[in-house]
Amino acid sequence: MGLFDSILGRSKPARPDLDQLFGLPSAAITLEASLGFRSTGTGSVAFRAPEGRAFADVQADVQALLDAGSGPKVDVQVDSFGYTWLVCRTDPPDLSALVTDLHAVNTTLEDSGFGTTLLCSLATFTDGTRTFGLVYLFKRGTFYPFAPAVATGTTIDGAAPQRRDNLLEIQLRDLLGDDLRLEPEISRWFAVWGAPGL
Amino acid sequence: MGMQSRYGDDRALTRATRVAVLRVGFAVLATVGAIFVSYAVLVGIKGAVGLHAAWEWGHWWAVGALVLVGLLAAVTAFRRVRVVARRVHGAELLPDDSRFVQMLTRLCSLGDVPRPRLALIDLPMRNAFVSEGPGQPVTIYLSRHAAYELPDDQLEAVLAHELFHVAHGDTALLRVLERIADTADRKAPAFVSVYVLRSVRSLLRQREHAADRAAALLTGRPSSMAAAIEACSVPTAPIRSEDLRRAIAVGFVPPGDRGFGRPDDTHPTIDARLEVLARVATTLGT
Repeated sequence: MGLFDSILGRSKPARPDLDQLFGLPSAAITLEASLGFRSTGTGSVAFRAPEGRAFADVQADVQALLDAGSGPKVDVQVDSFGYTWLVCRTDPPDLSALVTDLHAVNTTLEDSGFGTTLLCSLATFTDGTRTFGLVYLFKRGTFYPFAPAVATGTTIDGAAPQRRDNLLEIQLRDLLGDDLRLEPEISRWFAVWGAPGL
Repeated sequence: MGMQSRYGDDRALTRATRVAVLRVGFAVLATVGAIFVSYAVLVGIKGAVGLHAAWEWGHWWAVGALVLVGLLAAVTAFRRVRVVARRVHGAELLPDDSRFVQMLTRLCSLGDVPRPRLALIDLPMRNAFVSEGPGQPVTIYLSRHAAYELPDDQLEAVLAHELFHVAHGDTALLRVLERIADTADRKAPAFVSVYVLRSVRSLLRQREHAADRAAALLTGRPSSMAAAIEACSVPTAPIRSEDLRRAIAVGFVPPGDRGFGRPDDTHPTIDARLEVLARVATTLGT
């Protein structure tokens, strides 16, 4: 943002960077070799659906695009923060195909002028007991791991406690540094509780 | 096709902001001019009095008086203008896993701006403001009334509005503008300082529009922003602390006891804000 733009309050909307997504399959190989985590075959794209017809039409287009063709299954979920998640599933798990689907969703949104609404993409991995998600931040072009701790006990109101497995997250950061561009600022690693596939 | 068509400029807003920037430019020139003239007159008088005194009672008294006057002038000129409260009492800094911080982090991620700290504070109204100072990280203060009484979508609108004050550097701008207004108030004749205050405030009002617009585009919900402005603008008790009143000059709504639509208001009228949001809604195709 230039000084004059700043004085006039014209912030440029942040544009998404989609290319880094294709680093996921090589990261998956590292993950399986080192820690035994495999892709669950589920991935999702979170975006902020703006009010209005224009976006409703685009959302319908995206769904039509993904429902047609080779027929990946697509679900729509809305989380408690008001973000919409489009969930893609591959069965048996096929990370390359999943990444292609996620990329298609993102490209459609961006080509329709809604690239600014993209929040993150998520691909989930599991080793049988633990599950974590690799979150891709579009505006930064970086990844970070989000690992919910395996729930033990309950909180005072009877719900399962929400705790992150920080140790695993840091371990993953150290492991994946060569394959993916990782988000250096930990304050940007927001939690995605209840995200699809976790 | 593409972002420019949907998230382009609001021409009316840009034009109004240009006019406000020009007015502030004139105001600065008028202030400097007025101060220059008054100093010239003052120095002339002091010099005449000093020479006369030196001639009458010996020069040590006169030199002492001139040094004293000079020191006093320097002290008043460099008196620091405190724009925001150094310490906001009773603020509760929120941890990273708090729901409010999570909401803010997502907005920061969406807009790709660094995340400020978030704290709760007791104010007798639903409001939020930004504070930033030397050696103090940027913090958004959210009143407990706003945090616990507004629905999620409106709370998000409030946070997004404040986030854009941070992203646009409005706290720093406010510091400079209030300093200009303060200098004019102390040094320039009344008609100049009134003009300076009004032009400074008109620019501040444009910043509010800019923050509203950017926040509504970011969240994609101009209607929630409109609802939040209305929900926060219910009449409340006035904020008495001068520090907090200054801080709220970059707040979501003005501190409460002011009438709307005056030339020295820090915030635009509700109607004017809704007009800008209506244009956002149109660009989103509502």
